This record gives sequence, structure tokens and C-alpha cells, in this order.
Amino acid sequence: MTSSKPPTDTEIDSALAAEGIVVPSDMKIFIRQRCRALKLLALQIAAKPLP
Amino acid sequence: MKQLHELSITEVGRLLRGREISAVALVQHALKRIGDLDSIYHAFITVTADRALDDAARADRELAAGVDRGSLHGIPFGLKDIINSAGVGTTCGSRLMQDHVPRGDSIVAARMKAAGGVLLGKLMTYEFATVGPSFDLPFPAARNPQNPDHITGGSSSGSAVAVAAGYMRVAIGTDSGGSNRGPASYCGVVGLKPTYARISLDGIQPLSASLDHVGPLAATVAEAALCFDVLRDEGSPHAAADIGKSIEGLRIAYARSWSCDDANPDVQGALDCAAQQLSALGAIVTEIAVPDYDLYEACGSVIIQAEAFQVHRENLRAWPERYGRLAYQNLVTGAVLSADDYNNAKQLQIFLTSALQDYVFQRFDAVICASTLATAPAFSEFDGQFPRWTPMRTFPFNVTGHPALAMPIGQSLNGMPFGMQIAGAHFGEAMIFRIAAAYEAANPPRLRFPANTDATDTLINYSQ
Repeated sequence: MTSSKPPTDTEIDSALAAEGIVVPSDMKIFIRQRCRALKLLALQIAAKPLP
Repeated sequence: MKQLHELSITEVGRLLRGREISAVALVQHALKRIGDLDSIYHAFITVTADRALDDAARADRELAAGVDRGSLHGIPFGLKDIINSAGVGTTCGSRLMQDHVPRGDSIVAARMKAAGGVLLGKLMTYEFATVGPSFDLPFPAARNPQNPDHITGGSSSGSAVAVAAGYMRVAIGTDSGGSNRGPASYCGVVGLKPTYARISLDGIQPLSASLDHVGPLAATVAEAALCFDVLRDEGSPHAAADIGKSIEGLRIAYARSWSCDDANPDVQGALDCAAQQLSALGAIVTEIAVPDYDLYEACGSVIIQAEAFQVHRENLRAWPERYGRLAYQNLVTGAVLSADDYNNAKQLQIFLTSALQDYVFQRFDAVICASTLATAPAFSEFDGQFPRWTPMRTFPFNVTGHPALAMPIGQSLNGMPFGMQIAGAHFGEAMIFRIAAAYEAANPPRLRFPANTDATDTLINYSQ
């Protein structure tokens, strides 16, 4: 995942599937939320140039 | 009159060397408490009773023969169950590792034993040192000795409980984001995260190579320092050497902005009071504006999730059903991070480390701040379905590698404790212990050990 925008559900599902990660249906919403939040942190770090 | 478990390591050591008690009696006392109480508190995954009694008998024979191994001779201790001890199971609190028995000792286990420590057993951990409390693992969640209806925090949950329940005076835990300091604050004991790489992680299940640390949890500051001196790598000065020295004139920064908007009023009030007390003891305490806490949290979160995913990648694919729900949901999230994400966070880590070093530790001898922002929540707030993290201010020092100690500073009206952190420059553990001990001397610990059924048979008439 290299986009500069927050990932969509489809992109998150694809990234997990590409790693061979099984996501049970009752965990799907939580995992998507956490993945999106984590990726947003990474994007925020990338957006702030270090002095 | 005191009970054996109320005596410090130094006090017990004096009795052992004076042949007033035996190491075997000490272990028997601990095993009695564990037998009486641990069905409530669940600190242990494995109790090594026979082995501990054998080791204690050897410790007694050695003392009788004039062989004194040092500060921990005959003293019981425990290891978080991600730390290897030869021949004893290391489960990592997981079904996945339930049958794993390491052949060799971790460095920390070897050092504790070489100093005369007697291993009582392996202590509960959140699964693979991640998140909890979980209710779908083969081991019950540890419960807070101050009130078993409340959680302990984690991931070194059993280590904090073992000390707070009076099973042992010192236990070893690991800390990748606050896993020693959070439980220490929730349970009312002292917990140390030392300088990065100052104590070897060899023989310990990794979570995040950039953020993992190992260190002691103890009943008092002096006992944590004594244990740290046993564990630290050779060649560095004794950290306990400065305990008892005045803190007059020391410059202490107060990172109030990391907690004042979010902390429980009791916690914030006690922190403000602690800052005033340190000032009254002669330190020059200055409130400072520290870099934004959220930056440290973001940096640490990306690094820990990326590295933990790499550690567990193959097992998450091959054995997903062997993970508990909480650890699984937490660990898989690292799959969405790219190499660029990780490298950017590592660059930020270097910057944040320099910022804290230059801005704080070039100007001050130490910094104080909140540890947990509230007391330990009740179990009723956790359903075990989805991970939930309780607010702490511990992560910055994992990111920067600076040593940080959590110590109790008070309790809420419901009797649940909370703590503060004292952090120092890299390799500045001696300064941290000096300040913490001065505060503790002015505010003696009021740890309430739970009573066992017939505790009166172990009363000791101890006088210095």
C-alpha cells in the first residue's frame, strides 16, 4: 500500500489477502478500522517533513 | 512484627546471612501464599515449586559453607512467560506456544540465577506481550491484587501481580510500549524500562526489536535498583549507588502537558503534588513544553505494528486459529504498512530521540510525567471481543530509548493506585533511582498485600 490517501475497505482487504491473512467475518469491521487508523498515522508521518 | 513477604530483599538477606531464617522457609512461605491466593489473582502460568525448593536448599547449603552469590542469594523471583528459563515452559501466554520448553536460559534468567535468585515460576503475560485481558486463552487473565474486579494492565500482568500480591519482592517483565510501567502503576508497585539495549534481550520472545526492553518490577525503588544492577550489562556504573543521596539542586522537568487535558483529576492532582514535593526536597522543578505526545504515539505505533507483524507473519498465515482474538486482531494490522511507512517512522524515531535528548536531557537531570492517566478499569469494561487500550504516557521513552521508571504516588477513593514516571538521559538509571528513592523516602510505600488464610505462622520479629 503506497497511496497517499487513506485506504478503502477494498484496499485493506486486498492487502491482508495478499499476505495470506484470514479475516473472520466477526473481526472484519474492527480490523478494517484499525488498519485504516494505522495507515493514517503512517501517512501523517510521511506528510510532515523533518527539520 | 512483619510477615516475611513484607520484608525487603535487603532485610531478608540480612536474616538469611544471620541464619535467622532459611531460603527454604522463604520459598515455602511464598508457595503457601501462591497456593492460598493465586486461584484469585492468576499471576502464574507455571509454578516451579519443587525446583524452587531444591534451589533454595542449595542456597542454604552454600551460605552455610561460606559461599555468598550476592544480593539475590536465596531470594525468590519470577519471569514473565516470554522470557526463557531452561527446562521450564515458555508459553508466551498463547495456545501457539503452549508446549514450548526452551533448552537454555535467557541472559536475564541466567543473571538472576547467578546472583543467587530462586525462580518461583513463569508469570502471566498478555498473549505475545500484545493486548488484553483475553478470555479465550488457556490461561486465566491476571487480576489486580488491590481489587480482583479490576484489570492489572499489561502486558507484564503476572509480574506486577506477583509483586503486588506479596508472592515475591521482584519479578522480571518486558516493556515495548509501557508493559512494565502500566501494570506497575495499576497495581501499586515500581516498574522500570531501562535504557534501550542496556539489558540483553537474548532468550526473550521478540515483539518489536526497536522498542523491546526488559527490566524489573519491584515492591520498592531500592529493590528495583538492586535487581537492575544484577541484570544490566557489565561495565556500567551501579545504579543503586546514588540511592539515599540528596536531590537538592537537581533540575527536574515536568511534562505536565502530556496529561493535564486527559488525566483523571485524582491522577493529575497527585502528579502536581509530587512535583511540589520534589521541589520541597530541594530539586528545581520546572514545567516545560515537551514535543507533542501524539507524534511519539504515531511513531511508536507504526514501528511496533510493522515489526510485530514481521515476527508473527508466518504463524498468522499458518495457524490463525491458535491466536486469541485480541492478539490476532492487533497483529494482522501491520500487513497494511509499506516499507516506506516503516522507514519514515524510523526516521521520525531518530528525530524524536534527538529532540528529547537535546531539548530535555541536555538541560535537565530528569523529567517527570504521568504513567497511566487513570486507575485500573474494572473487568466489566472488557468483553474480550475487540482490543482496547487504556490511556498511558509511556510510549515516548520506548521510542527514544530513554530509561523510565513508574512508581506509585497515590490512590483514588476506591483504593486503586496510580503512579508517575521519572525518565532520565540514556544510561541515566542511577539518577532516576536517586530521585525516585528520595520521593519514596518522603512518601513511604503503602502497598496493601492481600492476607492469606493463616499468615500469622510466618511472623518475623525484625529489627534493623
